[in-house]
Amino acid sequence: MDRESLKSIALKLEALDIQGTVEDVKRALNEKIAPFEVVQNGLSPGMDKIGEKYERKEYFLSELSLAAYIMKGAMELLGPRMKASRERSLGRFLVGTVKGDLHDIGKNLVSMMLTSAGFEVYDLGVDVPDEKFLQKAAEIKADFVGMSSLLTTTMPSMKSVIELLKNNGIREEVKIFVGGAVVTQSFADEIGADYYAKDAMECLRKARNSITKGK
Amino acid sequence: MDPLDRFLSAARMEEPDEVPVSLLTSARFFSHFYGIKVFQFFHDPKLMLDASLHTMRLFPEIVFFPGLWADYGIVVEPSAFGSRIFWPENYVPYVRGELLENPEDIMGLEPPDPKTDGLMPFVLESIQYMQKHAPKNTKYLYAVARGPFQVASYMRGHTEFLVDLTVRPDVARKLIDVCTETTIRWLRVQLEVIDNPIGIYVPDDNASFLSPGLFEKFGLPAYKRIFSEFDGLLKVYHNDADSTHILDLLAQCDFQVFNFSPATDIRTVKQGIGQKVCLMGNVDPVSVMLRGTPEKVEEDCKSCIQIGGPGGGYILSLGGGPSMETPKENVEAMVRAAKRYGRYPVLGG
Ligand code: B12
Repeated sequence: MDRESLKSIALKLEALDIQGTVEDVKRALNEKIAPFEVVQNGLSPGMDKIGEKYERKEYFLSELSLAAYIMKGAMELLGPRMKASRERSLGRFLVGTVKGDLHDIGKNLVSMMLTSAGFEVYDLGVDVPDEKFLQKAAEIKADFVGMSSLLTTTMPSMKSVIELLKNNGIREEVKIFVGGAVVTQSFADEIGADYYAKDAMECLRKARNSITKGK
Repeated sequence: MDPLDRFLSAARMEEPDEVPVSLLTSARFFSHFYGIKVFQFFHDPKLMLDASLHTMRLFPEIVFFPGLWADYGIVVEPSAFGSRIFWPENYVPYVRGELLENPEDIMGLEPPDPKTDGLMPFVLESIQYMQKHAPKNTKYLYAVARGPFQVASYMRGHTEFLVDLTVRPDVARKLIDVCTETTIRWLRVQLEVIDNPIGIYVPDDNASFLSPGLFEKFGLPAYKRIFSEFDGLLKVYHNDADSTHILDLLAQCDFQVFNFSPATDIRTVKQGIGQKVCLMGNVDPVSVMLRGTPEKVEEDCKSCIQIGGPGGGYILSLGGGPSMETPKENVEAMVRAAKRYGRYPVLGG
Protein backbone atom coordinates (compact mmCIF):
# COMPACT_ATOMS: atom_id res chain seq x y z
CA MET A 1 0.00 0.00 0.00
CA ASP A 2 1.60 3.23 -1.25
CA ARG A 3 0.61 5.61 1.50
CA GLU A 4 1.95 3.31 4.22
CA SER A 5 5.42 3.00 2.73
CA LEU A 6 5.66 6.74 2.25
CA LYS A 7 4.51 7.45 5.77
CA SER A 8 7.06 5.02 7.08
CA ILE A 9 9.84 6.81 5.18
CA ALA A 10 8.80 10.11 6.72
CA LEU A 11 8.75 8.65 10.22
CA LYS A 12 12.09 6.89 9.89
CA LEU A 13 13.74 9.98 8.50
CA GLU A 14 12.30 12.09 11.30
CA ALA A 15 13.69 9.59 13.81
CA LEU A 16 17.08 9.77 12.03
CA ASP A 17 17.05 6.05 11.41
CA ILE A 18 19.90 5.74 8.93
CA GLN A 19 19.39 2.19 7.70
CA GLY A 20 15.64 2.14 8.14
CA THR A 21 15.11 5.14 5.91
CA VAL A 22 17.24 3.80 3.08
CA GLU A 23 15.61 0.37 3.30
CA ASP A 24 12.17 1.93 3.17
CA VAL A 25 13.15 3.93 0.11
CA LYS A 26 14.32 0.73 -1.57
CA ARG A 27 11.09 -0.96 -0.66
CA ALA A 28 9.03 1.90 -2.05
CA LEU A 29 10.94 1.70 -5.33
CA ASN A 30 10.30 -2.03 -5.46
CA GLU A 31 6.63 -1.30 -4.99
CA LYS A 32 6.95 0.83 -8.14
CA ILE A 33 6.21 4.09 -6.42
CA ALA A 34 7.58 6.90 -8.61
CA PRO A 35 10.85 8.33 -7.27
CA PHE A 36 9.44 11.82 -7.30
CA GLU A 37 6.53 10.62 -5.20
CA VAL A 38 9.02 9.17 -2.69
CA VAL A 39 10.69 12.55 -2.35
CA GLN A 40 7.58 14.66 -2.28
CA ASN A 41 5.41 12.52 0.00
CA GLY A 42 8.01 10.53 1.96
CA LEU A 43 11.26 12.38 2.50
CA SER A 44 9.85 15.87 2.30
CA PRO A 45 7.30 15.59 5.12
CA GLY A 46 9.98 13.84 7.21
CA MET A 47 12.35 16.71 6.62
CA ASP A 48 9.67 19.27 7.45
CA LYS A 49 9.27 17.57 10.83
CA ILE A 50 13.02 17.67 11.35
CA GLY A 51 13.00 21.39 10.55
CA GLU A 52 10.24 21.93 13.09
CA LYS A 53 12.16 20.02 15.73
CA TYR A 54 15.18 22.20 15.01
CA GLU A 55 13.10 25.34 15.43
CA ARG A 56 11.76 23.98 18.73
CA LYS A 57 15.35 23.18 19.80
CA GLU A 58 14.70 19.47 20.04
CA TYR A 59 17.19 18.85 17.25
CA PHE A 60 20.51 20.63 16.79
CA LEU A 61 23.04 20.99 14.01
CA SER A 62 24.41 17.54 14.77
CA GLU A 63 20.98 16.06 13.99
CA LEU A 64 20.50 18.20 10.90
CA SER A 65 23.85 17.07 9.57
CA LEU A 66 22.83 13.49 10.15
CA ALA A 67 19.57 14.13 8.33
CA ALA A 68 21.57 15.50 5.41
CA TYR A 69 23.68 12.36 5.43
CA ILE A 70 20.61 10.13 5.32
CA MET A 71 19.08 12.27 2.58
CA LYS A 72 22.23 11.89 0.57
CA GLY A 73 22.01 8.11 0.84
CA ALA A 74 18.38 8.20 -0.23
CA MET A 75 19.07 10.53 -3.13
CA GLU A 76 21.80 8.25 -4.40
CA LEU A 77 19.08 5.67 -4.96
CA LEU A 78 16.49 8.10 -6.25
CA GLY A 79 18.55 10.62 -8.20
CA PRO A 80 19.45 8.49 -11.22
CA ARG A 81 15.86 7.38 -11.66
CA MET A 82 14.55 10.92 -11.30
CA LYS A 83 16.62 12.29 -14.18
CA ALA A 84 14.23 10.55 -16.53
CA SER A 85 11.22 12.34 -15.11
CA ARG A 86 12.77 15.75 -14.80
CA GLU A 87 9.71 17.72 -15.75
CA ARG A 88 8.24 16.85 -12.39
CA SER A 89 10.95 18.51 -10.32
CA LEU A 90 10.05 21.84 -8.74
CA GLY A 91 12.91 23.49 -10.58
CA ARG A 92 16.68 23.70 -10.76
CA PHE A 93 18.17 25.52 -7.81
CA LEU A 94 21.81 26.55 -7.95
CA VAL A 95 23.36 27.38 -4.57
CA GLY A 96 26.79 28.37 -3.33
CA THR A 97 28.68 30.43 -0.77
CA VAL A 98 30.23 33.51 -2.37
CA LYS A 99 33.91 34.15 -2.99
CA GLY A 100 36.20 34.44 0.02
CA ASP A 101 33.62 32.93 2.33
CA LEU A 102 33.88 29.42 3.79
CA HIS A 103 30.76 29.28 5.91
CA ASP A 104 28.63 26.46 4.58
CA ILE A 105 26.64 24.99 7.42
CA GLY A 106 23.64 27.23 6.75
CA LYS A 107 23.90 26.85 2.99
CA ASN A 108 24.02 23.06 3.36
CA LEU A 109 20.80 23.17 5.34
CA VAL A 110 19.20 25.23 2.62
CA SER A 111 20.34 22.69 0.01
CA MET A 112 19.03 19.84 2.08
CA MET A 113 15.58 21.36 2.66
CA LEU A 114 15.25 22.19 -1.02
CA THR A 115 16.39 18.75 -2.15
CA SER A 116 14.02 17.00 0.17
CA ALA A 117 11.15 19.14 -1.07
CA GLY A 118 11.75 18.08 -4.65
CA PHE A 119 13.96 20.82 -6.09
CA GLU A 120 16.87 19.71 -8.20
CA VAL A 121 19.75 21.28 -6.29
CA TYR A 122 23.21 22.01 -7.69
CA ASP A 123 25.59 22.97 -4.91
CA LEU A 124 28.77 24.81 -5.92
CA GLY A 125 30.25 24.60 -2.42
CA VAL A 126 32.13 27.47 -0.78
CA ASP A 127 34.42 30.26 -1.94
CA VAL A 128 32.68 30.33 -5.32
CA PRO A 129 33.99 32.88 -7.85
CA ASP A 130 31.35 35.11 -9.46
CA GLU A 131 31.96 33.66 -12.92
CA LYS A 132 31.25 30.16 -11.63
CA PHE A 133 27.71 31.15 -10.63
CA LEU A 134 27.18 32.56 -14.11
CA GLN A 135 28.69 29.64 -15.94
CA LYS A 136 26.81 26.98 -13.99
CA ALA A 137 23.50 28.86 -14.08
CA ALA A 138 23.75 29.03 -17.85
CA GLU A 139 24.89 25.43 -18.19
CA ILE A 140 22.07 23.89 -16.18
CA LYS A 141 19.48 26.49 -17.18
CA ALA A 142 18.84 27.26 -13.54
CA ASP A 143 15.45 28.49 -12.39
CA PHE A 144 16.82 29.73 -9.08
CA VAL A 145 20.19 31.04 -7.93
CA GLY A 146 20.81 31.09 -4.17
CA MET A 147 23.83 32.80 -2.64
CA SER A 148 25.02 32.53 0.92
CA SER A 149 27.35 34.94 2.74
CA LEU A 150 28.24 35.12 6.42
CA LEU A 151 30.84 37.84 6.31
CA THR A 152 30.18 41.51 5.82
CA THR A 153 33.34 41.58 3.71
CA THR A 154 32.00 39.00 1.23
CA MET A 155 28.43 40.32 0.92
CA PRO A 156 29.35 42.66 -1.99
CA SER A 157 29.99 39.58 -4.16
CA MET A 158 26.26 38.92 -4.15
CA LYS A 159 25.81 42.21 -5.92
CA SER A 160 28.55 41.54 -8.44
CA VAL A 161 27.08 38.12 -9.27
CA ILE A 162 23.73 39.75 -9.97
CA GLU A 163 25.46 42.31 -12.22
CA LEU A 164 27.26 39.54 -14.03
CA LEU A 165 24.03 37.64 -14.65
CA LYS A 166 22.49 40.87 -15.91
CA ASN A 167 25.35 41.64 -18.27
CA ASN A 168 25.10 38.18 -19.72
CA GLY A 169 21.40 38.37 -20.31
CA ILE A 170 20.23 35.67 -17.92
CA ARG A 171 19.24 37.76 -14.90
CA GLU A 172 15.59 37.65 -15.92
CA GLU A 173 15.64 33.88 -16.38
CA VAL A 174 16.32 33.18 -12.70
CA LYS A 175 14.89 34.00 -9.31
CA ILE A 176 17.64 35.15 -7.01
CA PHE A 177 17.69 34.17 -3.34
CA VAL A 178 20.18 35.53 -0.82
CA GLY A 179 20.80 34.66 2.82
CA GLY A 180 23.30 34.08 5.61
CA ALA A 181 23.66 35.47 9.13
CA VAL A 182 24.82 38.98 8.16
CA VAL A 183 22.47 39.45 5.19
CA THR A 184 19.27 41.46 5.67
CA GLN A 185 16.08 42.10 3.73
CA SER A 186 17.14 45.69 3.09
CA PHE A 187 20.48 44.55 1.68
CA ALA A 188 18.64 42.10 -0.57
CA ASP A 189 16.41 44.93 -1.81
CA GLU A 190 19.37 47.21 -2.35
CA ILE A 191 21.23 44.77 -4.59
CA GLY A 192 18.12 43.75 -6.48
CA ALA A 193 17.77 40.17 -5.28
CA ASP A 194 14.30 38.69 -5.60
CA TYR A 195 14.10 36.98 -2.23
CA TYR A 196 15.77 37.06 1.15
CA ALA A 197 15.19 34.32 3.71
CA LYS A 198 16.30 34.32 7.31
CA ASP A 199 16.53 30.54 7.51
CA ALA A 200 16.20 27.37 5.48
CA MET A 201 12.53 26.87 6.33
CA GLU A 202 11.66 30.36 5.14
CA CYS A 203 13.74 29.83 2.01
CA LEU A 204 11.75 26.72 1.20
CA ARG A 205 8.42 28.45 1.83
CA LYS A 206 9.37 31.37 -0.37
CA ALA A 207 10.74 29.14 -3.11
CA ARG A 208 7.54 27.08 -3.14
CA ASN A 209 5.38 30.22 -3.16
CA SER A 210 7.39 31.76 -5.97
CA ILE A 211 6.47 28.86 -8.22
CA THR A 212 2.76 29.38 -7.86
CA LYS A 213 3.06 33.17 -7.93
CA GLY A 214 5.61 33.50 -10.72
CA LYS A 215 8.28 36.10 -10.12
CA MET B 1 41.44 50.89 39.28
CA ASP B 2 43.11 50.66 35.90
CA PRO B 3 41.27 48.81 33.11
CA LEU B 4 43.25 45.58 33.44
CA ASP B 5 42.79 45.43 37.25
CA ARG B 6 39.11 45.96 36.69
CA PHE B 7 39.01 43.12 34.16
CA LEU B 8 40.86 40.75 36.48
CA SER B 9 38.70 41.68 39.44
CA ALA B 10 35.55 40.85 37.47
CA ALA B 11 37.20 37.61 36.33
CA ARG B 12 37.56 36.69 40.02
CA MET B 13 33.77 37.15 40.32
CA GLU B 14 34.19 40.39 42.27
CA GLU B 15 32.59 43.80 41.82
CA PRO B 16 35.26 46.20 40.56
CA ASP B 17 34.72 50.00 40.81
CA GLU B 18 32.90 49.85 37.48
CA VAL B 19 32.07 47.34 34.77
CA PRO B 20 35.21 46.63 32.68
CA VAL B 21 35.06 46.87 28.90
CA SER B 22 36.82 44.39 26.67
CA LEU B 23 37.10 43.58 22.98
CA LEU B 24 38.72 40.49 21.54
CA THR B 25 42.11 41.04 19.97
CA SER B 26 41.58 40.81 16.23
CA ALA B 27 44.06 40.82 13.37
CA ARG B 28 41.38 42.33 11.13
CA PHE B 29 40.41 45.10 13.53
CA PHE B 30 44.03 45.97 14.39
CA SER B 31 45.15 45.99 10.75
CA HIS B 32 42.22 48.17 9.80
CA PHE B 33 42.91 50.78 12.48
CA TYR B 34 46.62 50.76 11.71
CA GLY B 35 45.98 51.10 7.97
CA ILE B 36 47.68 47.92 6.77
CA LYS B 37 46.45 44.90 4.85
CA VAL B 38 45.66 41.91 7.06
CA PHE B 39 48.26 39.83 5.26
CA GLN B 40 50.98 42.28 6.30
CA PHE B 41 49.94 41.87 9.92
CA PHE B 42 50.71 38.15 9.74
CA HIS B 43 53.79 38.56 7.66
CA ASP B 44 55.91 40.66 9.97
CA PRO B 45 56.05 40.46 13.79
CA LYS B 46 57.08 44.10 13.98
CA LEU B 47 53.97 45.21 12.11
CA MET B 48 51.91 42.84 14.23
CA LEU B 49 53.24 44.46 17.39
CA ASP B 50 52.98 48.02 16.07
CA ALA B 51 49.43 47.55 14.83
CA SER B 52 48.42 46.00 18.15
CA LEU B 53 49.98 48.75 20.26
CA HIS B 54 48.59 51.46 18.02
CA THR B 55 45.01 50.24 18.35
CA MET B 56 45.36 49.58 22.07
CA ARG B 57 46.52 53.17 22.58
CA LEU B 58 43.65 54.46 20.52
CA PHE B 59 41.23 52.92 23.03
CA PRO B 60 43.01 53.09 26.40
CA GLU B 61 39.87 52.26 28.41
CA ILE B 62 39.40 48.98 26.61
CA VAL B 63 41.10 45.80 27.69
CA PHE B 64 41.87 43.94 24.51
CA PHE B 65 41.70 40.26 25.29
CA PRO B 66 43.98 38.31 25.22
CA GLY B 67 46.00 41.49 24.76
CA LEU B 68 49.16 40.99 22.76
CA TRP B 69 48.56 37.89 20.71
CA ALA B 70 50.74 36.42 18.01
CA ASP B 71 47.60 35.61 16.09
CA TYR B 72 47.79 33.76 12.81
CA GLY B 73 44.09 33.06 12.62
CA ILE B 74 42.34 29.78 12.83
CA VAL B 75 44.93 27.94 10.76
CA VAL B 76 47.70 27.44 13.31
CA GLU B 77 46.64 24.08 14.74
CA PRO B 78 45.48 22.54 11.42
CA SER B 79 48.76 23.68 9.81
CA ALA B 80 50.69 21.65 12.36
CA PHE B 81 48.84 18.54 11.18
CA GLY B 82 49.58 19.37 7.56
CA SER B 83 46.53 21.29 6.33
CA ARG B 84 46.96 23.48 3.27
CA ILE B 85 46.65 27.18 4.12
CA PHE B 86 45.08 29.87 1.93
CA TRP B 87 46.17 33.51 2.44
CA PRO B 88 43.83 36.21 1.12
CA GLU B 89 45.42 39.65 0.80
CA ASN B 90 43.17 41.53 3.14
CA TYR B 91 41.55 38.88 5.29
CA VAL B 92 42.46 36.14 7.71
CA PRO B 93 43.97 32.90 6.37
CA TYR B 94 41.87 29.77 6.16
CA VAL B 95 41.99 26.03 5.65
CA ARG B 96 39.33 23.82 4.12
CA GLY B 97 38.07 20.65 5.70
CA GLU B 98 40.05 18.55 3.28
CA LEU B 99 42.98 17.10 5.25
CA LEU B 100 41.00 14.22 6.72
CA GLU B 101 38.51 13.73 3.94
CA ASN B 102 39.10 10.04 4.32
CA PRO B 103 37.99 8.86 7.79
CA GLU B 104 40.49 6.00 7.63
CA ASP B 105 43.31 8.52 7.97
CA ILE B 106 42.11 9.42 11.44
CA MET B 107 42.90 6.21 13.28
CA GLY B 108 46.67 6.66 12.81
CA LEU B 109 46.69 10.38 13.58
CA GLU B 110 49.18 11.71 16.16
CA PRO B 111 49.30 15.12 17.84
CA PRO B 112 51.89 17.45 16.27
CA ASP B 113 55.05 18.70 17.97
CA PRO B 114 54.46 22.41 18.64
CA LYS B 115 58.15 23.17 18.55
CA THR B 116 58.61 22.06 14.96
CA ASP B 117 55.31 21.62 13.15
CA GLY B 118 53.37 23.94 10.84
CA LEU B 119 53.02 27.56 11.91
CA MET B 120 53.49 26.81 15.60
CA PRO B 121 57.24 27.59 15.71
CA PHE B 122 56.53 30.91 13.98
CA VAL B 123 53.96 31.78 16.60
CA LEU B 124 56.51 30.97 19.32
CA GLU B 125 59.06 33.25 17.62
CA SER B 126 56.53 36.04 17.35
CA ILE B 127 55.58 35.69 21.00
CA GLN B 128 59.23 36.12 21.91
CA TYR B 129 59.62 39.05 19.55
CA MET B 130 56.58 40.79 20.95
CA GLN B 131 57.50 40.38 24.57
CA LYS B 132 61.02 41.57 23.91
CA HIS B 133 59.98 44.71 22.05
CA ALA B 134 56.71 45.69 23.73
CA PRO B 135 56.80 48.63 26.17
CA LYS B 136 57.06 47.67 29.85
CA ASN B 137 53.39 48.33 30.64
CA THR B 138 52.16 46.00 27.89
CA LYS B 139 52.93 42.42 28.78
CA TYR B 140 52.26 39.23 26.86
CA LEU B 141 49.81 37.51 29.20
CA TYR B 142 48.00 34.52 27.76
CA ALA B 143 48.61 31.29 25.89
CA VAL B 144 45.98 30.65 23.22
CA ALA B 145 44.92 27.41 21.55
CA ARG B 146 41.76 26.53 19.66
CA GLY B 147 39.61 23.85 21.21
CA PRO B 148 39.24 20.32 19.89
CA PHE B 149 35.89 20.77 18.13
CA GLN B 150 37.08 23.64 16.00
CA VAL B 151 40.34 21.97 15.06
CA ALA B 152 38.66 18.64 14.32
CA SER B 153 36.05 20.34 12.14
CA TYR B 154 38.65 22.26 10.13
CA MET B 155 40.52 19.10 9.31
CA ARG B 156 37.64 16.72 8.77
CA GLY B 157 35.03 19.13 7.38
CA HIS B 158 32.36 20.68 9.59
CA THR B 159 29.37 18.64 8.49
CA GLU B 160 31.35 15.40 8.11
CA PHE B 161 32.64 15.70 11.65
CA LEU B 162 29.13 16.12 13.03
CA VAL B 163 27.99 13.05 11.11
CA ASP B 164 30.94 11.01 12.41
CA LEU B 165 29.81 11.58 16.01
CA THR B 166 26.86 9.28 15.33
CA VAL B 167 27.89 7.18 12.35
CA ARG B 168 31.54 6.49 13.30
CA PRO B 169 31.74 7.31 17.00
CA ASP B 170 35.09 5.57 17.50
CA VAL B 171 36.68 7.58 14.71
CA ALA B 172 35.18 10.79 16.08
CA ARG B 173 36.40 9.97 19.56
CA LYS B 174 39.91 9.33 18.30
CA LEU B 175 39.97 12.65 16.42
CA ILE B 176 38.67 14.53 19.46
CA ASP B 177 41.28 12.86 21.69
CA VAL B 178 44.13 13.82 19.38
CA CYS B 179 42.84 17.40 19.09
CA THR B 180 42.34 17.68 22.85
CA GLU B 181 45.90 16.53 23.41
CA THR B 182 47.04 19.07 20.81
CA THR B 183 45.26 21.93 22.55
CA ILE B 184 46.92 20.98 25.85
CA ARG B 185 50.42 20.54 24.44
CA TRP B 186 50.20 23.72 22.41
CA LEU B 187 49.15 25.73 25.46
CA ARG B 188 51.95 24.21 27.54
CA VAL B 189 54.67 25.05 25.04
CA GLN B 190 53.48 28.65 24.80
CA LEU B 191 53.41 28.90 28.58
CA GLU B 192 57.08 27.87 28.63
CA VAL B 193 57.94 30.74 26.31
CA ILE B 194 55.82 33.52 27.83
CA ASP B 195 57.70 35.31 30.64
CA ASN B 196 54.91 35.70 33.19
CA PRO B 197 51.72 34.18 31.85
CA ILE B 198 48.51 34.80 33.75
CA GLY B 199 46.05 32.70 31.80
CA ILE B 200 44.91 30.55 28.91
CA TYR B 201 42.35 31.29 26.22
CA VAL B 202 40.44 28.55 24.40
CA PRO B 203 38.02 29.52 21.60
CA ASP B 204 35.84 26.67 20.33
CA ASP B 205 32.60 27.72 18.59
CA ASN B 206 31.89 24.41 16.96
CA ALA B 207 31.08 22.70 20.26
CA SER B 208 27.65 24.34 20.16
CA PHE B 209 26.71 22.42 17.05
CA LEU B 210 26.44 19.25 19.13
CA SER B 211 23.17 18.26 20.75
CA PRO B 212 23.22 18.20 24.56
CA GLY B 213 23.51 14.41 24.44
CA LEU B 214 26.50 14.41 22.10
CA PHE B 215 28.13 17.27 23.97
CA GLU B 216 27.81 15.39 27.22
CA LYS B 217 29.37 12.33 25.67
CA PHE B 218 32.19 13.93 23.68
CA GLY B 219 32.54 17.56 24.79
CA LEU B 220 32.34 17.42 28.54
CA PRO B 221 35.21 14.95 29.03
CA ALA B 222 37.43 16.81 26.55
CA TYR B 223 36.81 20.21 28.15
CA LYS B 224 37.21 18.88 31.68
CA ARG B 225 40.51 17.43 30.66
CA ILE B 226 41.78 20.64 29.08
CA PHE B 227 40.74 23.04 31.80
CA SER B 228 41.81 20.82 34.70
CA GLU B 229 45.38 20.87 33.35
CA PHE B 230 45.86 24.56 34.00
CA ASP B 231 44.88 25.25 37.59
CA GLY B 232 46.29 28.48 38.97
CA LEU B 233 45.89 30.28 35.66
CA LEU B 234 42.89 32.32 34.53
CA LYS B 235 40.92 30.11 32.13
CA VAL B 236 38.86 31.82 29.46
CA TYR B 237 36.50 30.06 27.07
CA HIS B 238 34.99 31.64 23.96
CA ASN B 239 32.05 30.35 21.95
CA ASP B 240 30.16 32.72 19.70
CA ALA B 241 27.64 30.22 18.38
CA ASP B 242 24.31 29.79 20.19
CA SER B 243 25.09 27.63 23.22
CA THR B 244 21.80 27.88 25.10
CA HIS B 245 21.28 24.12 24.99
CA ILE B 246 24.63 23.21 26.56
CA LEU B 247 24.95 25.94 29.19
CA ASP B 248 24.47 23.58 32.13
CA LEU B 249 27.12 21.25 30.79
CA LEU B 250 29.54 24.11 30.14
CA ALA B 251 29.07 25.14 33.77
CA GLN B 252 30.79 21.89 34.77
CA CYS B 253 33.88 22.50 32.68
CA ASP B 254 36.00 24.47 35.12
CA PHE B 255 36.77 27.64 33.16
CA GLN B 256 36.40 31.03 34.82
CA VAL B 257 35.42 33.48 32.09
CA PHE B 258 32.81 32.81 29.39
CA ASN B 259 32.62 34.91 26.22
CA PHE B 260 29.30 34.04 24.61
CA SER B 261 27.12 34.72 21.57
CA PRO B 262 24.39 37.35 21.17
CA ALA B 263 22.16 34.41 20.24
CA THR B 264 22.48 33.10 23.80
CA ASP B 265 20.17 35.11 26.05
CA ILE B 266 22.20 36.99 28.65
CA ARG B 267 19.47 36.72 31.28
CA THR B 268 19.46 32.93 31.05
CA VAL B 269 23.24 32.89 31.14
CA LYS B 270 23.42 35.17 34.17
CA GLN B 271 20.93 33.08 36.13
CA GLY B 272 22.66 29.79 35.32
CA ILE B 273 26.34 29.44 34.53
CA GLY B 274 26.80 33.14 35.41
CA GLN B 275 26.43 32.32 39.10
CA LYS B 276 29.71 30.47 38.93
CA VAL B 277 31.61 31.91 36.00
CA CYS B 278 32.45 35.49 34.99
CA LEU B 279 30.48 36.56 31.91
CA MET B 280 31.97 38.46 29.02
CA GLY B 281 29.56 39.65 26.34
CA ASN B 282 27.30 39.77 24.48
CA VAL B 283 26.47 42.86 22.40
CA ASP B 284 25.92 41.85 18.76
CA PRO B 285 29.16 42.47 16.86
CA VAL B 286 27.47 42.88 13.48
CA SER B 287 23.92 44.21 13.72
CA VAL B 288 24.71 46.54 16.64
CA MET B 289 28.42 47.25 16.83
CA LEU B 290 29.18 47.37 13.12
CA ARG B 291 25.89 48.61 11.72
CA GLY B 292 24.16 50.33 14.62
CA THR B 293 24.33 54.00 15.61
CA PRO B 294 26.33 55.02 18.70
CA GLU B 295 22.97 55.52 20.46
CA LYS B 296 21.94 51.96 19.67
CA VAL B 297 25.30 50.67 20.92
CA GLU B 298 24.92 52.60 24.15
CA GLU B 299 21.38 51.34 24.64
CA ASP B 300 22.35 47.69 24.12
CA CYS B 301 25.40 48.04 26.37
CA LYS B 302 23.19 49.54 29.06
CA SER B 303 20.83 46.60 28.87
CA CYS B 304 23.70 44.09 29.03
CA ILE B 305 25.20 45.91 32.02
CA GLN B 306 21.91 45.93 33.88
CA ILE B 307 21.41 42.22 33.40
CA GLY B 308 25.01 41.00 33.57
CA GLY B 309 26.45 43.53 35.99
CA PRO B 310 24.61 43.12 39.31
CA GLY B 311 26.73 41.28 41.86
CA GLY B 312 29.90 41.55 39.74
CA GLY B 313 31.57 38.86 37.68
CA TYR B 314 30.72 40.70 34.49
CA ILE B 315 32.77 42.19 31.64
CA LEU B 316 31.03 44.28 28.99
CA SER B 317 32.03 42.93 25.59
CA LEU B 318 30.75 41.69 22.24
CA GLY B 319 29.41 38.22 21.53
CA GLY B 320 32.27 37.57 19.13
CA GLY B 321 35.25 39.42 17.70
CA PRO B 322 34.90 43.03 16.55
CA SER B 323 34.33 43.32 12.81
CA MET B 324 37.01 44.92 10.71
CA GLU B 325 35.22 48.16 9.86
CA THR B 326 33.61 48.75 13.25
CA PRO B 327 33.20 52.55 13.56
CA LYS B 328 35.39 54.26 16.13
CA GLU B 329 32.34 56.12 17.48
CA ASN B 330 30.67 52.83 18.33
CA VAL B 331 33.68 51.65 20.29
CA GLU B 332 33.64 54.95 22.16
CA ALA B 333 29.91 54.57 22.82
CA MET B 334 30.64 51.25 24.50
CA VAL B 335 33.18 52.83 26.83
CA ARG B 336 30.75 55.65 27.55
CA ALA B 337 27.99 53.20 28.45
CA ALA B 338 30.23 51.44 30.96
CA LYS B 339 31.07 54.77 32.61
CA ARG B 340 27.45 55.91 32.67
CA TYR B 341 25.66 52.76 33.72
CA GLY B 342 28.38 50.50 35.02
CA ARG B 343 29.44 52.19 38.28
CA TYR B 344 29.09 49.74 41.14
CA PRO B 345 26.74 49.03 42.77
CA VAL B 346 24.94 48.20 39.53
CA LEU B 347 21.25 47.52 40.01
CA GLY B 348 19.17 45.31 37.76
CA GLY B 349 17.11 47.04 35.07
C1 B12 C 1 30.38 28.46 12.64
C2 B12 C 1 31.05 29.76 12.31
C3 B12 C 1 32.26 29.69 11.66
C4 B12 C 1 32.86 28.38 11.19
C5 B12 C 1 32.24 28.01 9.83
C6 B12 C 1 32.17 26.52 9.57
C7 B12 C 1 31.46 26.22 8.29
N1 B12 C 1 31.97 25.27 7.55
O1 B12 C 1 30.45 26.82 7.94
C8 B12 C 1 34.35 28.79 11.07
C9 B12 C 1 34.93 28.51 12.43
C10 B12 C 1 35.17 28.12 9.98
C11 B12 C 1 34.27 30.29 10.91
C12 B12 C 1 35.28 31.07 10.37
C13 B12 C 1 35.27 32.44 10.36
N2 B12 C 1 34.29 33.24 10.86
CO1 B12 C 1 32.60 32.61 11.46
N3 B12 C 1 31.01 32.17 12.37
C14 B12 C 1 30.45 31.02 12.65
C15 B12 C 1 29.18 31.26 13.50
C16 B12 C 1 29.56 31.08 14.95
C17 B12 C 1 27.95 30.41 13.19
C18 B12 C 1 27.54 30.31 11.73
C19 B12 C 1 26.65 29.11 11.50
O2 B12 C 1 27.04 28.13 10.91
N4 B12 C 1 25.41 29.17 12.03
C20 B12 C 1 24.45 28.12 11.93
C21 B12 C 1 23.71 28.18 10.58
C22 B12 C 1 22.63 27.12 10.57
O3 B12 C 1 23.12 29.43 10.44
P1 B12 C 1 23.39 30.41 9.20
O4 B12 C 1 24.73 30.16 8.66
O5 B12 C 1 23.03 31.78 9.56
O6 B12 C 1 22.39 29.89 8.06
C23 B12 C 1 20.98 30.02 8.13
C24 B12 C 1 20.45 31.34 7.54
O7 B12 C 1 21.37 32.40 7.57
C25 B12 C 1 19.98 31.00 6.17
N5 B12 C 1 20.90 30.99 5.04
C26 B12 C 1 22.22 30.72 4.99
N6 B12 C 1 22.67 30.72 3.75
C27 B12 C 1 21.64 30.98 2.94
C28 B12 C 1 21.53 31.10 1.57
C29 B12 C 1 20.31 31.39 0.98
C30 B12 C 1 20.21 31.47 -0.50
C31 B12 C 1 19.18 31.62 1.82
C32 B12 C 1 17.89 31.98 1.19
C33 B12 C 1 19.28 31.49 3.20
C34 B12 C 1 20.49 31.18 3.76
O8 B12 C 1 19.52 29.67 6.33
C35 B12 C 1 20.43 28.96 7.18
C36 B12 C 1 19.75 27.81 7.83
O9 B12 C 1 18.62 28.14 8.60
C37 B12 C 1 28.89 32.77 13.15
C38 B12 C 1 28.15 33.55 14.20
C39 B12 C 1 26.67 33.48 14.04
N7 B12 C 1 26.00 33.38 15.14
O10 B12 C 1 26.16 33.48 12.94
C40 B12 C 1 30.30 33.33 12.92
C41 B12 C 1 30.54 34.55 12.03
C42 B12 C 1 29.69 34.46 10.79
N8 B12 C 1 31.96 34.39 11.67
C43 B12 C 1 32.60 35.51 11.66
C44 B12 C 1 33.99 35.63 11.38
C45 B12 C 1 34.59 37.00 11.54
C46 B12 C 1 34.76 34.51 10.97
C47 B12 C 1 36.26 34.51 10.66
C48 B12 C 1 36.80 35.71 9.91
C49 B12 C 1 36.96 34.30 12.00
C50 B12 C 1 38.45 34.39 12.01
N9 B12 C 1 38.96 35.26 12.84
O11 B12 C 1 39.12 33.71 11.29
C51 B12 C 1 36.40 33.22 9.81
C52 B12 C 1 36.24 33.49 8.30
C53 B12 C 1 36.53 32.32 7.45
C54 B12 C 1 36.08 32.57 6.02
N10 B12 C 1 36.95 33.09 5.14
O12 B12 C 1 34.95 32.35 5.68
C55 B12 C 1 31.72 36.69 12.01
C56 B12 C 1 31.37 37.60 10.83
C57 B12 C 1 31.42 39.06 11.23
C58 B12 C 1 31.39 39.96 10.07
N11 B12 C 1 31.34 41.25 10.33
O13 B12 C 1 31.40 39.60 8.93
C59 B12 C 1 30.50 35.98 12.71
C60 B12 C 1 29.16 36.69 12.53
C61 B12 C 1 30.87 35.88 14.21
C62 B12 C 1 31.03 37.23 14.87
N12 B12 C 1 32.21 37.68 15.15
O14 B12 C 1 30.10 37.89 15.15
N13 B12 C 1 33.09 30.77 11.38
